[in-house]
Amino acid sequence: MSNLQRSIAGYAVVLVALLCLTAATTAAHFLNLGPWHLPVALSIATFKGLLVALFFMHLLGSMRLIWLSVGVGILWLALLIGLTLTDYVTRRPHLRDWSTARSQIVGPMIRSARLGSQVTTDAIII
Amino acid sequence: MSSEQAIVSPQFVSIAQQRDAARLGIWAFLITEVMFFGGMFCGYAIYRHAYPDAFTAGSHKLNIVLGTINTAVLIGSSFTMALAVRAAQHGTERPRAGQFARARNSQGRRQSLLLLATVAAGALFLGIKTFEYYTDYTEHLVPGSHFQFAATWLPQVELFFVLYFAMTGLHAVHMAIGMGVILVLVMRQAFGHPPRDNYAAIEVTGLYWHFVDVIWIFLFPLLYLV
Repeated sequence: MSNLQRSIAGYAVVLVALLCLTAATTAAHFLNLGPWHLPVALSIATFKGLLVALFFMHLLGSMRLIWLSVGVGILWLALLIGLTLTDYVTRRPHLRDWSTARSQIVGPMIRSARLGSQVTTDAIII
Repeated sequence: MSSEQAIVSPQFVSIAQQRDAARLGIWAFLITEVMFFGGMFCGYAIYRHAYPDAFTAGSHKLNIVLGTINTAVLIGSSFTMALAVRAAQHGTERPRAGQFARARNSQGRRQSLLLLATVAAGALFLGIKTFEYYTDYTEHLVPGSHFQFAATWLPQVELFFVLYFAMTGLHAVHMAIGMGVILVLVMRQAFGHPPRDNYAAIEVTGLYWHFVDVIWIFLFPLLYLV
């Protein structure tokens, strides 16, 4: 553990960096970043969180067991949010309500089958 | 060193081991907190993906200036907390026999002042937050029968405000608990009954306080800057 990391000057540098990054987050909000808006905001937040964890929380210089715990914690969080989003992000709006989908796709298929007419391939693929 | 060894609990070999156990314990607790808040962040992600326009409309109702000021206040409180932990560390590591009592005393005062500054910053944060909540209330933005929003997105914007109040509310509760713990530490110091391992107590409290700061660092852009 070096002296600078736990000196008043060291903490002050981290403080100034965090305040500058806060100003940068708010400034970035007023720039027209389009699709990059959310990634930029989250990147700055992650970097700020990293500064707090590494220097204020002394993660830098902590024992390996703590690094392991933090790593596993982040992994669980990534699984929680990541796997949930793989579901929600890939849902198709017209299949969200199964009863609607049934009446729109399966219903005509059954009716047309009863009538003996040919089922269109489009309906089967969807 | 001898004064330090006197406070080692019987289940530990050394003061170093005792403090390592305390650190691991608080980090394990903080990871359960990550999962606690994580569920809310997950719900937020789902509904922001589903209703992006409504979340933007709701977010525009929040006060970015107050949000930015509060972020700076909270970061400042983390700074004073880090200095308090440092002061506590120096208080226990001052070995000079003759000046020990006096040096320790001034370090203790310094540590208490820094802790009180942290609590003051926390109180300022909660004060600004209360003012924001009051403004939201007068603008009919609190979810429920009182809620009003002039747009086609009404139920979706209401959902944004449900998440806003739940997430910032849970965060505020964590801050209030942290302030309470810090005040107890200051009082015990003032009345001459500091914890058995004063440094470990302050370091663990500091880790909790910084964690609450990190949560806000993520809440701020997600709620105010959509």
